[in-house]
Amino acid sequence: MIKARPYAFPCTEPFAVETTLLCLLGFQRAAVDETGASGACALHHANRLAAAWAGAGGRCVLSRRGLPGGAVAPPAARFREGRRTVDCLARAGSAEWELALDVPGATVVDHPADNAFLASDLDHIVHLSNMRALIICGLRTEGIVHATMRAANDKGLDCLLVEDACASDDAAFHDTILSVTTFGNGLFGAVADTDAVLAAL
Amino acid sequence: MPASEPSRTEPQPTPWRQVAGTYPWPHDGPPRKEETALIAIDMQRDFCAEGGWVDQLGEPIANTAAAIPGVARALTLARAAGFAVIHTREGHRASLADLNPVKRWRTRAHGLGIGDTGAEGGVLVRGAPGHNLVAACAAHDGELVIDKPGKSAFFATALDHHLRSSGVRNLIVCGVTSDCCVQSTVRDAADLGYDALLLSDATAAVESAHHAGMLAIFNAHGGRWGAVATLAHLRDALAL
Repeated sequence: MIKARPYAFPCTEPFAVETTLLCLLGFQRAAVDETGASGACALHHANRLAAAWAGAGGRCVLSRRGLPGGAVAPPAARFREGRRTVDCLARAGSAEWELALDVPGATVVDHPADNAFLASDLDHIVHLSNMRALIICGLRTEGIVHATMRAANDKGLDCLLVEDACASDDAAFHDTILSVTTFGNGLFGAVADTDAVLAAL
Repeated sequence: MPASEPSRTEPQPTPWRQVAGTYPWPHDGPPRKEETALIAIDMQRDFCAEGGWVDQLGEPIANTAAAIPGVARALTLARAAGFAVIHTREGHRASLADLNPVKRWRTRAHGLGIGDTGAEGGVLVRGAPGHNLVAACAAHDGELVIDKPGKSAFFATALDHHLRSSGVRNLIVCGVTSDCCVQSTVRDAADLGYDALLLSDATAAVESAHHAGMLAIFNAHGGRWGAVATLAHLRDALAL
């Protein structure tokens, strides 16, 4: 089991690398640059996680949010995009869209919105690989990471958020998400740090 | 084309103004009746009423109970405007075939599990007294009620199908709780292309800090997943 709060992870069955998917979400160039020191720190821990996970024979997904050429976001989403200067939807192939980490053997999942399950093959891959639980980290905590974790919960996947491998522009947003995640006995899952995951491996 | 073939319906003029929220909502002009729906999320006894599930867990219901008048007011405004009104209820089939083990385990460890039998029958089980909407927020005849097994009203339900089928693009969202099912629904609405308006005084969380923290996240960056406004802003825009 992985030592976590508010419960040892995962909750309903023993921890097994074979049925747990490591999800490194949205570690793209623009997100890392915009989140500065906190983003760089999260990326550092994500790389530690990925290396240890691969060493233990675990499977890993890298997610990449963006729009392919020829595709457009819905009108309301385009309007909201135009109101912000950060966390913008990148065009596939652009420098800001590129992944900021390289994990040999990882499956790269492209998605057009925050929830990596929406309009992507992530659910299909999780199902076919018999995954029961997700270990999640990425950028930003309150954006892609939380949206994807919410969706995973509705699907019945147990989720562990790796807090030091996530970051936001605003530390208060990051803290709010951690608090909501662990509310009750884990409204959206459990929280641990990278060392706790490595210790379980 | 035969002379009797009806032409495509042109949008009708709207008597209303945009709602003065995080951004003028809807983003593309005043709301049109036929394109707008109000969704009241999970105004059930189990979340809001004395003796319901949250109360049985020993968690405070002061905030969710206090949201009832605001949601009732939102329902009244939407009905007066002629918007489609949709209610959701979180709950599971009596067989629990749609209850995932992780959700059940976490809530059992909290004290009383979803699917277990409490003082108001099966917790979040369809048909149990605790699963019912509170009287002040009950559905009127002809209003759609969506029973949902997850936090998001879009997960494993026909909500998106119904909205697209009826031409709804704009969603006014209220109900409980602001950090859980309301937020999951607004986020999914944004990802799916809807323009959502969250009514800040017609929603609440069990913990006040979570409510405030979530509103701050929603309001950041010009309205990251939609707009936030008050009931007064909505009433003013609708001249009601």
